Amino acid sequence: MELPYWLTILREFAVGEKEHTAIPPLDGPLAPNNRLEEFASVGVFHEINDVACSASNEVFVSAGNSVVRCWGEGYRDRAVVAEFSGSAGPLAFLDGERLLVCVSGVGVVEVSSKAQNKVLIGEVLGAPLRCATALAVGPGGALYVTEGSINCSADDWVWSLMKRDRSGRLIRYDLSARRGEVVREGMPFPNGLCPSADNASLLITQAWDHSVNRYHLEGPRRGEFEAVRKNLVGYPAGISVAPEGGYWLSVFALRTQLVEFLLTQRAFRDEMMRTVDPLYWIRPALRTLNSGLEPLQGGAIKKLGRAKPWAPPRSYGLVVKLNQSGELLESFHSRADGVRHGIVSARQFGDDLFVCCKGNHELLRYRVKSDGGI
Amino acid sequence: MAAEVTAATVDAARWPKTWVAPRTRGRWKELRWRASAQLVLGELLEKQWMEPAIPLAVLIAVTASFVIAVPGMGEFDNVISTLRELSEFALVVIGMGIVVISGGIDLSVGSMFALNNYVALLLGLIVGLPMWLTTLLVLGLGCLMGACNGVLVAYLKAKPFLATMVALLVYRGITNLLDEHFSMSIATKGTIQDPFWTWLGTGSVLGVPTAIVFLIVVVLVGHVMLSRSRLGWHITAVGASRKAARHAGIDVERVLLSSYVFSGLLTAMAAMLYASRVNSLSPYTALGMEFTALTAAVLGGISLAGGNGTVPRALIGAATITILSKGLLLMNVGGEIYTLIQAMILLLVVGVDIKWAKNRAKAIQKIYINPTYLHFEPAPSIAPNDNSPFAINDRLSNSMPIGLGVVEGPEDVLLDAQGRLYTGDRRGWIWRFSGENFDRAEIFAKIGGMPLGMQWDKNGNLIICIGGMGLYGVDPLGRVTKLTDETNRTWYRLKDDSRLRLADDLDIAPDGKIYFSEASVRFEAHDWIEDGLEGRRNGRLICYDPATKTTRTVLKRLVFPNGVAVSHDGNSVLIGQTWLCRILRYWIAGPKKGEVEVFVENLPGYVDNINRASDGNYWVALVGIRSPVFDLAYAHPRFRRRMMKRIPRDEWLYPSMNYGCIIKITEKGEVLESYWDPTGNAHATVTSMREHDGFLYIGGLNNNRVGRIKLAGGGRP
Repeated sequence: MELPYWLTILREFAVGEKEHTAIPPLDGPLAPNNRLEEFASVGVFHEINDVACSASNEVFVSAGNSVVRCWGEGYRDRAVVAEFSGSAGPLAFLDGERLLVCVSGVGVVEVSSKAQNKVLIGEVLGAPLRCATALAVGPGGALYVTEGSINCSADDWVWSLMKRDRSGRLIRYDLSARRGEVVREGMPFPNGLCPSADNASLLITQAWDHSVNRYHLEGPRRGEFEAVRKNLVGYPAGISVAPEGGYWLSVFALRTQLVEFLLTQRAFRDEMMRTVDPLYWIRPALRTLNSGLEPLQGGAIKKLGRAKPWAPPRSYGLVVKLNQSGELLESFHSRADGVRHGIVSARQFGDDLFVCCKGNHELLRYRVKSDGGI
Repeated sequence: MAAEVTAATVDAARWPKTWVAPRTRGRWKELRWRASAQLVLGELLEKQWMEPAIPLAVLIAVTASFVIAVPGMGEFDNVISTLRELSEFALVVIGMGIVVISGGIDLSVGSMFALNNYVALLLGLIVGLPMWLTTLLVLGLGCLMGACNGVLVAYLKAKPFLATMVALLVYRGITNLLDEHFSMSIATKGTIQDPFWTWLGTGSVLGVPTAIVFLIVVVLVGHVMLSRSRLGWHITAVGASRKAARHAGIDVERVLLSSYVFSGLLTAMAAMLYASRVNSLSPYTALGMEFTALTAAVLGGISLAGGNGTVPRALIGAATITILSKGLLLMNVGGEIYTLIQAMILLLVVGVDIKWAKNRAKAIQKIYINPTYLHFEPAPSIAPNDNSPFAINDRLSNSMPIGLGVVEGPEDVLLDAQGRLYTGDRRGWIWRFSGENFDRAEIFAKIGGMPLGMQWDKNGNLIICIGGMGLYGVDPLGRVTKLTDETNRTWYRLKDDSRLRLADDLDIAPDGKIYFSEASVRFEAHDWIEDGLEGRRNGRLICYDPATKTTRTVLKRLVFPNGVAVSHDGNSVLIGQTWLCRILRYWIAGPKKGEVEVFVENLPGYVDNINRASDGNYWVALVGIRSPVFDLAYAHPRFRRRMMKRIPRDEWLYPSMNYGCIIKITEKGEVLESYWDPTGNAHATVTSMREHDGFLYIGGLNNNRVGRIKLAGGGRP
């Protein structure tokens, strides 16, 4: 429930801020660098969303409305294996061979080799699954799916942010019984999901409250949901396990003070949403259009012909390495003057870290050192 | 011809329709937001004379409450007697105030007062001198005693507190000695019968009691001395920082000495008024007066740290204390309680005043900017494939760079008859580029400020608007002269608008008069964004007449007037209004002389400089283009205000200044064509252009170059 502005001020005055919500600085492990710009490019995939690796070391990429299989030297051989009516989102392999893909507006679809795709989960408890944002196979063969919002499709995520929508769900799907159940609801856009290394819990990112959370599947705290990392600098997207320990967290955009401020201004936001094309809203974006019609922030004015890398970013590229307990270890950036923005997924297969840069329609590859260091 | 639009540089998908729904205009809102009490308050608090607001409020409160609560307080006789007492006390407080302002303290005023009083009556009664002579002698004695203090403090470097404390004891001791010697012989004398003495004590000038006349004269002279004279400024400077004053060449010792002499003189004056009124020979006169006077000075808002205070403030403090004591006396409150109440009020006022002094600037900052409501119709399409004159193209992308990396922020460009190029620079320099490819760069003049619009006058002098300074002229040899930096002040405005803050662009009419715009009278040149977010009618059009050397404001209350161009026929002036995205036409000759009309409006970008083109049309630079969200923000003044308060400036929503263009407009206000750099690499901000010999030269406030493109068959304007 969104309080009127003057009430929030009163509350702040009376009880103080309960927790730190100011945007943390890019400092320590998050100190800016240009390492994302130095990653090798695997190729251009329009509106790339996710990447998965099969048991036979073939890479599958969901991009736009299709899923592309890549193989061979430098993954230069490519073939479209499936096409859908909505955009193809997160990918996962079931039992190492059945490829599942979240399709915006459709649900979770199983891609079969004979090009006969089967909708595996189209609805949960009677409600259509339009905004599946991540899926993972949990212990015991259950399938876990996060649904960003029950009110919009996956492509309309910015609508969900601006409406301060908190209708995301965590869904468990029993493959043998072909039945889904809602584990948790009312979540602020759950946007990434992966089982922990010991398979005892799930890690779930929530975009609109900038957090990484743990959902316990086993042990004495079974069924509990707790925050591992709160108040991140940006909006998290996918999370995945790093084989040598820890997790890869992709952050699809940085929070800016202007957007945080806008989220407290309901009247202006409502009129903006009603009258202005979403491309030109004050909002986080996956890519900057370099159009004068986009709102401009003071620090982003070009001085002496140059854009400042530290300007308030409308879009940004960031991949963060977390350790087992969720502390930040290292980060890879593409700054305001860079192009590799809007990282939606980062997954490591063997020694290769694949990064899906949706902002620049690119799949990136980075060789992680064999000793596990970066 | 213009280059073909290429797919590589212009991506159609980036520039689609921007408004998805119509918006309604709030006309009554416009009017309601135009008037702003907060704006008046902000400008009021900014005035220097608002510093003693708290002491003045306390004085008024104390007076009002006593007049209401104490019967007889407001009666005529009581008012007159209170004023007489006030006169004596206020003179002492002013003397004390001057010493405090100079960074010292004078604890000896009470005993000086007593000694002066005693000596005056002694000379009158025992020696029998005429009282006018006595008065002069005593005033001299006062100066002498003050000078003793001054010498101790200034030349012998004694601490003021210690030196004047010793003086306190010495003068009081002398008074006691005199009393021991003369008390018996005086007791047998009668009273002083002297017309001057009677006039001084109980007489009046034109019905006004003499003492009050003295006070008025002293306050006026003292105020002018302290705030307008060299010595007054020196006293304040020494009090603010003795070291800095010495470095500035001020004779600190002499200034200190003179401040103590003033204190002695004013105390003697007060003693004379007292002596003539009361005629009381007592060594115990004015016991503890130094502390009451100090209290009054601090109460009036004179800083004990020195360097901050005025004579009226001393008067306010003295009046508060006098009325307080008089009122409590009438209420039959005992002396001990009176002291207690005085102390408590002092504590309260000083506490509040310190907070006020500390936070005044912050309070002003919080309320100074007052965004207003502005409505914009959806902008015309700039989509590249549209059949619109604004359709984006890449005609500026491949301009030839001039002075790349040499100039920093060339707002305007100008060429002379020899084809040499002149441009300003954010460092306050004027560059001249010559040679075949403009590769010879030299600094033509160093003026300072922010060089903006430029034009040639008939004699080949460069006339230039300097943001933050005014209107300047540079002769062909590079010698700089100031033409004007002030205009007539608007009599009803609190804010002093006589100085030029942001002279922006100029043009010269056929009769030689220079018309130039001042973008904002409320904000400095580097705070242009605050004016932009405010969106108020803060600017004006000013005319400087070189023949008579006079400056007059011709149009007031314009929203950010920027570009100025005299029309081809010389009968009107075009004025570009940046935030309103429109151009006005102001008639300076012909049948419509004096009238203002809208020339063109609802442009897709923010208007900057305007120039005449060689083909009878006009060039207009659009410094940035309108983003739909910023247009919307103009209709939400509260949103803008909160944004400015809550997030830092670099995070504010700005007008979209990274993509500008140049358009060509006919004499009738029709837009013919536009020139763009959609990459923003060569010309991100476009603030000016100048046509010369078939080329168009492009300037930009934030740019690192001047650009040049070849025009399709243009000539010299």
